[in-house]
Amino acid sequence: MIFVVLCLTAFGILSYITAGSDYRLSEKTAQNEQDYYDMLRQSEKKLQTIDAAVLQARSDAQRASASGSCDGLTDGGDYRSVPAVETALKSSEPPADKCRTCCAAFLQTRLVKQGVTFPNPSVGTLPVNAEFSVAGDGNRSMRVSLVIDPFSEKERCRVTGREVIVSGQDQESESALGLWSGN
Amino acid sequence: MNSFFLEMILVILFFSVSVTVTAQLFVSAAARAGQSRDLSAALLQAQNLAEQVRGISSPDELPVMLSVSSLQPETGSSRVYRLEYDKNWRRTEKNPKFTVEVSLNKTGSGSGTLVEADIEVLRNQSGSASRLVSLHPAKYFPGTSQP
Repeated sequence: MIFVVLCLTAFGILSYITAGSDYRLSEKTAQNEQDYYDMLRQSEKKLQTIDAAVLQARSDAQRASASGSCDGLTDGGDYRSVPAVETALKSSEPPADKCRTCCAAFLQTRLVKQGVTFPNPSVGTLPVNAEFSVAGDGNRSMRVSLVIDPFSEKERCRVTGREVIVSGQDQESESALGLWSGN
Repeated sequence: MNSFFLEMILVILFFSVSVTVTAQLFVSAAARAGQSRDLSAALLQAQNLAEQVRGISSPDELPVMLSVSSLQPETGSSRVYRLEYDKNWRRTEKNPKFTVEVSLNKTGSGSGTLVEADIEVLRNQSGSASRLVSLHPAKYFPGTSQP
């Protein structure tokens, strides 16, 4: 009788502990998924502001290449601080090439202010590879990689990868998977 | 003889107390397992919807799961859709055990349109609803503009 009672009690405790652990795991999973989608939403909002900056840079580049100077542009002072811009505007290149060179420089000038980084900075060439990070809850963040081509008819800002980074984790241990870009 | 019966009574008393405690443990474990199951299933449904929102190809397109939902009266600039399920996660219209509410909101700007969705999965119990999971996916659609 005592043996039976002890066995039942042991099994009851085991069941309770197992169910509790399972519930905590489900809660953790749900919280992780909520964090992921919250970071995704923030990245999409950031993408919207980046796209607006890309359009503005393109418009400024078209005006600058047509007029030959950065006068009259909203961020003309910042643009002039990039040596490649003055060089391009004063060169004898075709207007389309001047426009692309200026656009690349204007783009980087505008986007750096928004916290966007350029892993392979090369002033004057398009398309441009860029990255930005959005912070999530706790020690997680999402790093988004994109290719920016202001003169593309299909996609000005094409996302090429999203990576969730947990601070403190070894980032070199796994390589990021590339997004499937379609046919 | 009397002592034997007395001993038996004490044994049965002890056994009934311990069985009560053990049964409570098992019932609590079963309840916890049920909560975990509901949470996992709710997360799966919410994720399905979130990925369908992420998969739409234009700001005016409706995710497939919402095409059969009931549209609630508009509140502000967002449209609220409701899906009701029974305890086995099958669509139902009477006495739903779970309710999924999706609020779609579009924000336009000069560069494009941002579609944001607020997905909430609620459990209906004893006349009140408690929130199980809430996800907030979004997708940005750049506008087309000729270079």
